Amino acid sequence: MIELLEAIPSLFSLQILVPWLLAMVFGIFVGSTPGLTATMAVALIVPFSYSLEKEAALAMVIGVSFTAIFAGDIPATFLRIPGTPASAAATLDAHELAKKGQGRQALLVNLLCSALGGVGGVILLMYISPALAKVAVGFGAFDYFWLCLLGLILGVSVSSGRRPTLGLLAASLGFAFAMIGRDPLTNQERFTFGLSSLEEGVRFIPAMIGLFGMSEVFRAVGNMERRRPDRIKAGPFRIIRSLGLVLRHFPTFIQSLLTGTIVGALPGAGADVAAWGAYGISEKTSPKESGNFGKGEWKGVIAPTSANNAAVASAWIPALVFGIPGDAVTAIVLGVFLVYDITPGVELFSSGQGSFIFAIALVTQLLLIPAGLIGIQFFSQLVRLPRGMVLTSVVVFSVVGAFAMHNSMVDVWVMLAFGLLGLRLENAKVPLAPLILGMILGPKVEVYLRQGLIAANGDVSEIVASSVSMVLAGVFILTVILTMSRQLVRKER
Amino acid sequence: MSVSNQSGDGGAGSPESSQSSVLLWLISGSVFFGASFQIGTPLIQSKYDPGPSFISMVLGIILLVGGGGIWVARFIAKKLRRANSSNQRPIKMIGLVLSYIASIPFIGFHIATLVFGIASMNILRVSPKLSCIATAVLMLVVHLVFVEMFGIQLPKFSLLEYFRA
Repeated sequence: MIELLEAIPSLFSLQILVPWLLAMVFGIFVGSTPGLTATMAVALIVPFSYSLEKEAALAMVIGVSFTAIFAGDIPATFLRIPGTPASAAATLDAHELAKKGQGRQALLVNLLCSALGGVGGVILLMYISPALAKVAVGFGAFDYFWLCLLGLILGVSVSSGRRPTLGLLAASLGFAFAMIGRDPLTNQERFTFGLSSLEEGVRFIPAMIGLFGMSEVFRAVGNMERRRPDRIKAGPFRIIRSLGLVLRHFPTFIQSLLTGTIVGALPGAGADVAAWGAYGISEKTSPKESGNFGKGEWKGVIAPTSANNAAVASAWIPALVFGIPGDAVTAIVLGVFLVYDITPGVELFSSGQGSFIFAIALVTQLLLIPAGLIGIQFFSQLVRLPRGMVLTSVVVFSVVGAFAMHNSMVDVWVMLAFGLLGLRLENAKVPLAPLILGMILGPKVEVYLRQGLIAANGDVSEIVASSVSMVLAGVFILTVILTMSRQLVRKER
Repeated sequence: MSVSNQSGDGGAGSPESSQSSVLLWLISGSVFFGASFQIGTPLIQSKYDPGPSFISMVLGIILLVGGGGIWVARFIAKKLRRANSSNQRPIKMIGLVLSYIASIPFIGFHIATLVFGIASMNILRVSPKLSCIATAVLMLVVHLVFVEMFGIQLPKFSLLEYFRA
């Protein structure tokens, strides 16, 4: 702790602060552009960092890695296009709040939660790194299988509201779409129907842009004729009120911070799983407000945004201790560490380099607030433009965003197809979030199940052999029973 | 988000939209279930691995059973009816977006966007003058961000390429 406090003042020099803040604004800009991901933001900043001193370079790279996740929430709130997969859970309530004229307020709460969640995540990272890393590394394939399945069912249960059956079907459909392409274990082609363009599978980003962004455009265009359109209002910008909201929901914040930290520490789980998990737990532990989730509930904003940034911090636990990156962003950052001769492991902490990295990560959370405010203000001005202009811009950015990932027109067609599917599903009152959740978590569920079965020589009883698996399976079954019984009670009423 | 406008129909979808929803589940279920039989058994597959087609079969069954269940429930309740929409504007917009995407490989991103931007804003009741200005600004922003900054090669006017060659 003393080493950390000693390291912080050394960061406050112009040579470090200027590129650091610029990199964070860049992260906000990239993360908030549909189609450009947090991974891309970090990857793009790396070449710029090479020309700088080691300290400034590390500050830039770490700064961007923490910024882009929050940035993804900005278009998610105003346009219902999650900038990153980790922002999808926050879209549900934040966009509803934006429709009620509280867009900026929602983003301000989001920003505070992201910064505080990040601070909490970094502090927990410092203190519980070794212990948590050991637990995470001890997780077997079936433990991960149950964890992902639990994340899936929690997400389906929450985001489906009163329609868990439809939510489950939507998740199954998303899961099935994710199976298009090559089988991750055997490389066998599945559902490609001889089309080489499908061998790579349905890419997640174009699908997400289409499902949330394009379908929203088509729906908004329809609403322009039928009735007064859902006009998004930036709304007031009250910092004190936002802080009050966060403090009022402090237990939710702490609960989500812990959820995010634990989930983020598991290699491969990532900020998206953390966000959905925290959202689900928050709904389950808030019986009074559970009916408001998905309709503009503040807890629905606080939970995922605190958890996703905390998860970004804790994803570093296995990365720093064992050199196992938790996600793609951490993998790139780890690569940069290696360029500067920073080797993960016990030596990292004994040499004092660990304290320096923690100091950067901690101050980054504080710098996130001014950088985030710039992003919120900029986007708030955009939504004041005439609706027709905004909708047209969303289409163009969606097309370019889908294309930009792999320079492929197939992705653009995938985006449009998912846009039309999203419109059809929304007209049929089918929730969209479970579909995207099925696409994210489905492949992980499949891979861990099959890997576990192979490792257990086909012994199905091994599926709940470990204590972690038993607990997770128990919570999973309990969630299913609670969700279905709630539906039955509602039917009887 | 759709979760925001839930009516309490107990989980089977609203009547006005149930037919299209049921068809969607049944068709997708049939496709995934049927096509899962076409997936071959890889040589390198472990004998303990249920295989690449196992989960897709399960998902196909879930979709078929779910769709069938909703259909039966609706049929019994006689609520099944076709979703009707007299709203033409989304159809025009979908057509326009479709033409826009289809035209990009042939006339290039910039020309296609110019035409789409003006036409789309016209449909969405933005004045012609403002449409032209907004489209120009939009193209400039996209060009600066994606082409200049990130070096992404957006599709070009193929005839121009032909003449250059």
